[in-house]
Amino acid sequence: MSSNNTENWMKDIGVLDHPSGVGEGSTTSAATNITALVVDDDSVNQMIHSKILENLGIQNQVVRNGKEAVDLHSSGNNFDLILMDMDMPVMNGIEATRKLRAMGVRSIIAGVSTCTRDEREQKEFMEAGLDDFQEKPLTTPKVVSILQKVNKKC
Amino acid sequence: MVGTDLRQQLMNYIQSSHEQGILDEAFDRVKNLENDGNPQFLSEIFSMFCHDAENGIAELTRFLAEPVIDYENVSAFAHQLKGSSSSVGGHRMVLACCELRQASNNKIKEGSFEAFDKVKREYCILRDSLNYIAQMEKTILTNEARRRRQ
Repeated sequence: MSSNNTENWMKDIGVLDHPSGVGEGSTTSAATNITALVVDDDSVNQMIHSKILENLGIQNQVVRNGKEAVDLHSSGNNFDLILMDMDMPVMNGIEATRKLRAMGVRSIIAGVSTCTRDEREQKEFMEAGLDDFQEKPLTTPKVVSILQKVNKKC
Repeated sequence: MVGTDLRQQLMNYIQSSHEQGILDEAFDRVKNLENDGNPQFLSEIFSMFCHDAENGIAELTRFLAEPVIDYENVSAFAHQLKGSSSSVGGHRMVLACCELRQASNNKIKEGSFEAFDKVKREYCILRDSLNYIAQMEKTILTNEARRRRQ
């Protein structure tokens, strides 16, 4: 995805006021009004996903497992976008997604997992309440496509 | 010009690492995430990866040294190592982790040991590559900052 397409899309939905080259290696000059939560037990993935969001001007927080994500919402936090890993200790992505939806959380929840995942488990993940599913590794175009897809639904 | 020479040297090194299969396109994507706002990003990611990988390898060493091998845990740690090495673009290390996972899923002792040796070898190669790249980037950025001040 070209950085121009990303900028134009984000301007169209009013989340970017003063773009200055959005893409894999650039940052926006102004923050967007989107917030995100990265849910992943792997520290490297946490850093990469957080950086992708930061470069898109999306404020974000990081937690290590599904339980921390649920606890964060129980204490009154909410986010526009949740990037949910599937395999995590304590509480995995499937259970966390189910719990969040049962709590009435209406955020965009995008499941993120490896491509070798079996189809049955992926189906279970979707049915838990995902809005989208993306294979790892996550990239800037994939994050934009998540937001674009859901924006078309609204 | 020295700056251009160093950049070219780094590009050649990365290209060579791609050709040898040490790095793949995921590495390029991570590298491109670095920007002026956080020039230390690459160093931080690589340090984090090495820290986690060394912990994973230590755990695998422990599990594989047991008289009765806990293949489930070996497989789980191999999967974890595969995930983080995939994130930094460590192609050959990913393949080695896959072999270890397969051997441990099939509870093949000899195969697990051989695959683990491969994981350790590929980790050392990947670690050295990433450290070299991070060091070169740091030198290039330091030189560029110095030139801007002149």
